[in-house]
Amino acid sequence: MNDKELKTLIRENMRRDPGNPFFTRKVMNRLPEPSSSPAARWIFRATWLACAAILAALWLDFINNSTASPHPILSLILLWSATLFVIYTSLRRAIHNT
Amino acid sequence: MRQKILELSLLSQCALADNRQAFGRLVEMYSPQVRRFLLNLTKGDAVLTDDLSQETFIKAYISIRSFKGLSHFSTWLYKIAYNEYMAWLRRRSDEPLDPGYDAPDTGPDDDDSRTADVMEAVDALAEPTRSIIILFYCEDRPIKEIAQILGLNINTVKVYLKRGRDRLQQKFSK
Repeated sequence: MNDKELKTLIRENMRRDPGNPFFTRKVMNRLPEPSSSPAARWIFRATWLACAAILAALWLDFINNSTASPHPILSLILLWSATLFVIYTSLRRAIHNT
Repeated sequence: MRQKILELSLLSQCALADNRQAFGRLVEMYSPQVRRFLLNLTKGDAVLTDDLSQETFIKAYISIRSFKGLSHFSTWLYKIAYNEYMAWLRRRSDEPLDPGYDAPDTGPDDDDSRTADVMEAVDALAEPTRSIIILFYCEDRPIKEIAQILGLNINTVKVYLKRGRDRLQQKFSK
């Protein structure tokens, strides 16, 4: 038996995949979530830190000059909303990373 | 040529823009080849083939940015598929042997049973001879690509191929 005959024999008898119509969908459903680039992560961190610092400064300003504020209740609502939003985003990232 | 341009376009969309739809098209293009290769490696185990094929494409998606284009995309996929199969073999060697995966018995040869025994004879070969025979004869891959897929030297592949070919020719020339 020469090589050509052997090749024909193997190719005629090799196992053939019947195919799975759901295969591509299965793979797509298992793909991991896209991860952001290192540069994007650093930009996010820097922006987050800047926002946290501005928020802390606004809180200090509000505590020291609350009586002088023209709309103390509105300022308080805005500060609490921003603070809760920052806490929520931090917790969500921490939970996602774990 | 058109296929190659489409492949390049899809690959760049995946690597640069993380385009999942483009990756889905690559899966559709290459899954028949990868699945057939793994089906022959796993000796016809369809469930295992499905699992290993999925793992192959998920690994390809994760590391698609590391694909430099130095080889064909299909060669790169075969390499991942082969590594997945070898990793599964190593995991299995830690577990008790499954009788379904024992080397099949080889009965007396005659003209009627010859063709039925072909894949059994291929399955009875030791690694990496078996993988080389499957890649060379079933997948029609050149020796250079087989060497890249298996991470072996071209001359080593030639030696294993000759050894496997001689054994099969000897068996079926009787």
